[in-house]
Amino acid sequence: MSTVPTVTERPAAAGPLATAAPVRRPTAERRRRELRDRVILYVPLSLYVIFTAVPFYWMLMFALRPAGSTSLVPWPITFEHFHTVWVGAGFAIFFKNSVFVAVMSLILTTFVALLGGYAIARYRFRGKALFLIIMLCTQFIPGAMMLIPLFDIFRTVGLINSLGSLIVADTVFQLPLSIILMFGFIRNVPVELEEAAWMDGCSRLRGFRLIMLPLMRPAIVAVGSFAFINAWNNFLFALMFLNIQDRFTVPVGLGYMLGEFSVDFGALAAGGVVAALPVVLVFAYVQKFLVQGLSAGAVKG
Amino acid sequence: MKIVHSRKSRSAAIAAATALVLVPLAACGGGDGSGDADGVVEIQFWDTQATPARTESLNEIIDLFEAQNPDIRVSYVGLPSDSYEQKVDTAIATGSTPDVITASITDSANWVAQGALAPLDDRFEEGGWPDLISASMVETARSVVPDHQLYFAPDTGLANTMWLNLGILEAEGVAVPTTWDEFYDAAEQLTHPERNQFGYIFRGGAGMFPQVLDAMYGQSGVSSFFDDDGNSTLNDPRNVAALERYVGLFGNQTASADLTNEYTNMVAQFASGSGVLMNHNIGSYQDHVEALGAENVLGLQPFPSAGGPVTVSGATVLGQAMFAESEHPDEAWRFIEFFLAPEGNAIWAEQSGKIPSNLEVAEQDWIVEAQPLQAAIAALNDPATQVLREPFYLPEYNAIAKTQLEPMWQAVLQGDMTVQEFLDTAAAAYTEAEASYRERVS
Repeated sequence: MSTVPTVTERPAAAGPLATAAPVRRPTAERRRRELRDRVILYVPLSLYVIFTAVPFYWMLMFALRPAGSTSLVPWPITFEHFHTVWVGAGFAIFFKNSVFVAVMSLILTTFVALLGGYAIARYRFRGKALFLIIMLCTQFIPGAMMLIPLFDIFRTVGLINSLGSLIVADTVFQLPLSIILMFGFIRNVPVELEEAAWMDGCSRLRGFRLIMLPLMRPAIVAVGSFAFINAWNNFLFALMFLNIQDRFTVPVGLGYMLGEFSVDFGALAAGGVVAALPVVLVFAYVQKFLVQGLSAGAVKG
Repeated sequence: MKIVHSRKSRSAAIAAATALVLVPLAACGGGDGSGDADGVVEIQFWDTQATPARTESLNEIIDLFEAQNPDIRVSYVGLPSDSYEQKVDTAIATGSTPDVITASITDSANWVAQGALAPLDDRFEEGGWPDLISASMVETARSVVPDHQLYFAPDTGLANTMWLNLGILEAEGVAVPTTWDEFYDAAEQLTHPERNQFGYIFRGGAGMFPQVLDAMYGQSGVSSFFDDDGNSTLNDPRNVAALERYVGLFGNQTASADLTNEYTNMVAQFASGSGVLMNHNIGSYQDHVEALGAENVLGLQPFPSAGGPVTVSGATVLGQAMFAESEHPDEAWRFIEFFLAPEGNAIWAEQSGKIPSNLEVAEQDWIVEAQPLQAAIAALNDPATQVLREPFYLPEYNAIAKTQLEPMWQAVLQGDMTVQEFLDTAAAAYTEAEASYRERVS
């Protein structure tokens, strides 16, 4: 196990004085200090890991152990709960619907946010500041307040009972934050880079594609992953805009695991695993881009 | 890139772009599916308590119904039990309600108040159902609406039940209690905190009111929620004494964590054996059987009050309602009738573990073998039993219990409020609500 670097452990800097310094031997006080440093570091970390990991372990335990078992270890392992949710509760269909909605929302949100963010960052037009403030203000409106007007609009354009209604609603609700994120990132890319491309004969579009897009990969990944996760987890729009069983998404299916008078914990946990897995995988893949993307607009380069 | 300058061509470009987005999205599968095709009428049916087991049962019923009624197709939509209200309210507000919906008495009262449900009295009479369906259940369904009409056809009933983990009782040599005194003794004998086993499971969190009413009125023998003058009997001295004794269980014969218990935790505790006795709705019967095995589950009806009769509370009914805006009311009613008829009623009641409303079904063999259901039917049919009718017709009934009483109940359990103060506040709130109701109705 690696030790915690401390001041006393740090190797003496190279130089004449360092070589002359006597070798410091471990003392009781030094060992105590090391122990204290380790406790200060590892105890809070361990508590944090326990708080984070226990719900996941609980979920896996209930999902994998047989119904009625009180064992704290999921053994013998059973996949009956996964069969219940996948076949009995219709998750096989819900999963496909969720993937379609989340991927389409990701594509649309990222594409429009890219164009919108570029326009705000690179063009000067009347009302730009006001537009940004209005976009920020839209974040204060909860989706539930917009349900009835949205329902009426979607019914008018024939989108009720269509996954398209979810894609449109999810995209529209995520665009303000996505555009602001993109705007922050693009603003910090020196315009001179694009100008150099134009000088070399590129059109604005080609310059954008060849110069800007590669630089914006972290922002695209950050915005795209947010769009995917939000659309994946959205329960309310799916429940409200769909009246056909085969069109529902995973979050609605998850709601089926809680009855009014009873609850099937095994199926609930298995449903939770199915619902959480794509989000965990997406996060695992994009986490390094995510940090870059989020912090990209924070400091002027 | 060519820039569109003129206003006209810009509008055309916007319209084209919008169409470009919306047309493929609409192709993702729109349409409400309610259209008639080849003479077959499609009716929309919403289940407000969807679970995989319920969906399977309802699909079986729908398949049977469609086989017998080839001119009707039923489109099933399952809604999660914790969020269906918002969906239905939105549907009512936007005029997009289905034809048929599963309803409880609380739902019925809410939706009737919004003018959304169609009265079913005439159809119910014409079908000859009054002689075939439990009169008590029909009366309960009528009692929750001011005009006393029938807005949903009751197909099943529920009753509060005292659940026992028989395996633990037998292992510890504790006799099945038959009186309230024996119940308190059993709870004490079955409590072993060192083994994380408690005699009783308390409901300190959401939905605590039915358990409180059962314990209070069951022990006191008080038979009505209001006296003749419309004053709530909640703070009747007999109820106060009964509740004080009941609260004494908390922290002694129950886990302290029960302070925030709601039904999911309670059912899990009962399934794991960390709680041996539990008061909960009969609707959880199938889950207990699945977790513990039928031989280890016993469901008892309330014990008689000291020297008095059995007082049953929480006797409620569920059924099928038809929305007033249904475009196919005749077909919708035929589907509702299928839940009342012996074939559909038996499947529905047996698979959902509830009391059937059809009198013929209530005498079938499977009921005799289902001990908790039989006990509930026997208690409800016993002429000596007093049924406490809760005032579900009050629009504030659930809101008072949820927003006022639930937080105060936890204060009582923590010793920050006396039982007397709690019941005085509750009684005052319900008395005021009843007075407003009587004024409105008169």
